[in-house]
Amino acid sequence: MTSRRWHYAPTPIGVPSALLDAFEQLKAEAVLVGGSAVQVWVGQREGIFATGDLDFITHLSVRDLAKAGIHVEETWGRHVVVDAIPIEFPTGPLAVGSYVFVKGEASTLVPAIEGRSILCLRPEASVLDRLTWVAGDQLEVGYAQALGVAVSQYRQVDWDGDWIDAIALKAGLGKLWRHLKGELASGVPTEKGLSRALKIGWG
Amino acid sequence: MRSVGYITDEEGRPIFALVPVAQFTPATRRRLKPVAPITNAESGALDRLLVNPAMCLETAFLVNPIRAAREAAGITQSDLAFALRISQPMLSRQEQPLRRVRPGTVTRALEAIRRIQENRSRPTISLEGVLSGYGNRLAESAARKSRDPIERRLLREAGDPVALKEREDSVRQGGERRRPPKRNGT
Repeated sequence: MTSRRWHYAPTPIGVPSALLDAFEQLKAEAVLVGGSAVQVWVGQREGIFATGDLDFITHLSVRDLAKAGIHVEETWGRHVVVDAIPIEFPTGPLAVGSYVFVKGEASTLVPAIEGRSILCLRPEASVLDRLTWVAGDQLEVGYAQALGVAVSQYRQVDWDGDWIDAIALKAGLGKLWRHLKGELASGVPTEKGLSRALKIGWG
Repeated sequence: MRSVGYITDEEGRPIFALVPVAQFTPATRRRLKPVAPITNAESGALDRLLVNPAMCLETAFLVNPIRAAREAAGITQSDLAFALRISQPMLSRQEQPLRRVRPGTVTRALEAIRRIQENRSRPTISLEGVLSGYGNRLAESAARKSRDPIERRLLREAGDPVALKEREDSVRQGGERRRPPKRNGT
């Protein structure tokens, strides 16, 4: 028996089985985003890649999960704790910067540790998502995470350089992406390049 | 794409390339010089072609543009099929000699081949090396990350090491996504 081949090179992510059951039962196409998606693509969970929660973009609300049998002791708006893991449902739709993704455009299936698969923000989109931290909040860690995803995935057969070029422009991240792309092409991203990135902003 | 056919030997190896006469202009012919004397294998194949052209031409085949480009790029059929999100048997059918393939199919395949080649030529970068070059800046910036206060509280209760170090005054109410300011500056 051959094992399934995944697009890109994802690292399996831990998701509570009860949550996956609820998504299936409610026919929710929940997409894993944020720091957990970065973990999937970088394959690291420590240091700057550590994150304690799982973020899913979905049409579901926390109350819907309760209907699907998930024990919800208390609701905090978009947040719920399932099997001791904080889960957040960020405000949709699936988007990056000023660009809203077309359905199915920005997600791909990745493996969950317990054996099933879940939808996850594709790595090119994950890079742009992290660059919004750089443009909006001038966060060095956002640039480092964007670089981490790109370095880990941009040699894979599925990586679509044309797509990320086009979407970066639409999202208002064209200049930042071009800068990061240049650093990647040089093969030696530097601290000077990081400092320069923080001054670029949107556009 | 220029049409090219081959005459093969008994073992299927291409011995002669055939191009349409219209594409083999006198100027092209003048530019081309033999790189080596004709070999016995070539001479034998040419003899057979002269004696029995029908038999020999049966072994000639038009090069399938997808297969030719894929093989020239050193990409396996399995990898290309995967990148195109089609099954390997389907790609195999598309790559059959003399098969009429839609121009759009060829374009998509050639585009995927270009992309794979481009991706494989990208430099391998040591992430650890880059991150260590950034020094303490990363840890300091992680503490500046803005969050919804409820999210921060839940993460701290769950023992999230990053949230534990974050500053209380970095707040992003409601978890709104970061987006560029509107053109009127609002």
